[in-house]
Amino acid sequence: MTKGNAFINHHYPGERIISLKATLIVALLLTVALFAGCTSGDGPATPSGEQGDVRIISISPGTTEIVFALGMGDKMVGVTTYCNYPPAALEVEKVGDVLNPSVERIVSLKPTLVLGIVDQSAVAERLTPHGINVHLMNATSLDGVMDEMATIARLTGAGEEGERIVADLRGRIAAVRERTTTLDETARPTVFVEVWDEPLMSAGPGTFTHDVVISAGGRPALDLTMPWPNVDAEAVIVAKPQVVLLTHTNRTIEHLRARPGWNAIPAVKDERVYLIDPDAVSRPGPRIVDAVEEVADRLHGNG
Amino acid sequence: MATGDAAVPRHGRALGALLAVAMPIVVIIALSSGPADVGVGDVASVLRAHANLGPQVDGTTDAIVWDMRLPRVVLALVTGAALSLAGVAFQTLLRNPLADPFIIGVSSGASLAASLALAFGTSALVPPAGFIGGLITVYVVYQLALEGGEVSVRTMLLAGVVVSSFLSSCTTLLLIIMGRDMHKVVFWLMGSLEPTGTTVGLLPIVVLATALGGLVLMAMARDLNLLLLGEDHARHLGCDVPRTKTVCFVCASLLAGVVVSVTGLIGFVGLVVPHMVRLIAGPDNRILLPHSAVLGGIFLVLADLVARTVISPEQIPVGTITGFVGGPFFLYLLVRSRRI
Repeated sequence: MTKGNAFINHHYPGERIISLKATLIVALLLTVALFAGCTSGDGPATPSGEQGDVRIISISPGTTEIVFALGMGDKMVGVTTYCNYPPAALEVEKVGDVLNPSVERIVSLKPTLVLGIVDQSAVAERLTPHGINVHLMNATSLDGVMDEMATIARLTGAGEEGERIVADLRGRIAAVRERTTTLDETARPTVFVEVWDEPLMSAGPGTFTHDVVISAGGRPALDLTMPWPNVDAEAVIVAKPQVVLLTHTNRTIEHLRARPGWNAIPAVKDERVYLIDPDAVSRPGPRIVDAVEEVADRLHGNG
Repeated sequence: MATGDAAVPRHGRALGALLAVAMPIVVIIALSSGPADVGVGDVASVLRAHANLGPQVDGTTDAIVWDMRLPRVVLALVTGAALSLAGVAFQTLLRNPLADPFIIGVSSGASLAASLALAFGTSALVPPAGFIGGLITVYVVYQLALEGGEVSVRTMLLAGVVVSSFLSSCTTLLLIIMGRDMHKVVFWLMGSLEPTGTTVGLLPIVVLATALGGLVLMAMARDLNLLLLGEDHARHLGCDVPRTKTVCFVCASLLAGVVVSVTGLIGFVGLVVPHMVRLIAGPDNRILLPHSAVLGGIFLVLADLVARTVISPEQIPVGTITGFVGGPFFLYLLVRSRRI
């Protein structure tokens, strides 16, 4: 917006709008990535094998859910304000939000292990000089989440019980895949995932949501390239998805029916529009398994 | 920016003719393009059906052309026109080529109000909140700029910059507090011409406000030309300077406020389009205002066409396209005009 010929010495407000926008866009991308936990990057930092007094701080909602699922919730000494599941996580002391947790508070809680996701490497860099063990999980698929859960089980000392829990979850994913891998192309319904309504957003390759749909035996209705694209509603009408999954709570099938041209979409006509818990389907945590089972049931009935 | 009362500006007539031909062509192309295989023939049938001149067409085709593409194209046309008109008005009023429709804080006030609406209300509240927030901001800036009953252009510019910057900080703070819900605001800030239910409902208001603001500005074009000479000269030549400044300010703020509240922040159009017209047709506001309005409309329809088709079915925020395409093209015009 700023042109070359600087006419006045004053700051031009457009610059500020742009820089605010740039900051926000970066922040947005980071948040989306954090909630989805799906971008690739460098592997985890120094894991800790320390035994005895385990004090865990989780700086992402997904890792918080993992620690509680592994039965190590009582070792948690700090979580973020975004960690809303399980309910017990709400009782744990807060260290800030996912984008900007307080390094000071984390250090003062004397953790033996800090867990986050790979997108939080900037936070990790501020913690490691204080001698804190940080593990950032890096998972881009259902199997990746399970591998990371096994790693976290080991790091937190969850022991055999932890291994059993992870094996159980892997077994449930395998059971869903067993139901769906044998399906031929025509038996896999085309699925449109609506992540947000205004603007209309979907989930593309590289997101857990995408992996969940495919693992549950669905075919993406749109050929997407970006992870969280803003899509043209016209393209959805053309694609005629057989199922629509809403991963936000803004809208119901009635709203979809009222949109121009949407009542011709098979999913809307056949009332195959389902709400899926957004946190379950987008967080790299144990509930991703609930999500894949639920989607499989929606797509193929309680087989 | 010297004023000129010459009846025939440099390439004014040629530009006028070009725009008159280009506008319908661009609109038809935009209506015929999209992910669906709905082309010129279908567009013609749908338009004929709605004018009761032809048989009903298939429901989906009708929805795509009439309910999805047409509101979007009309909104782009009107938004581009309103932003360009406001840009011309502020550049003239502030005698500053860097002025754009948002220079005195409409956008920062609207952004804060829209963020508040999204944080504590629903997305349907965004347009009214944005409009009110934008107008409160410009009113405050206007009051700050009043010196002895008359607006000081210098103070207005400074006050506008400071108020904008203060409000932007408030918005940033709010976004940090809002945390995970902030993507709603970020999308709003990036600007969109997507025809949502709210947007389509507000379309008549945007059209009406733009027409009204444009007509008032057009009626004042001669006074605005005098203002370009400097306030003292304008006064000596019989221009009611305080009245001209106030009316121009109100019109420009209204145009920017209405548009920003419906589409969010679409940058570049209001800054660059008036300069493009100036480079081609000269600075006479009588030529500049209508030509900028039409070119602004065409420019935004084209930018939105690119935004929704280039990586279809995915879309790019239209504000990105306006800057990406508009910047280099404007620099090209600037360099060429220097050579001549």
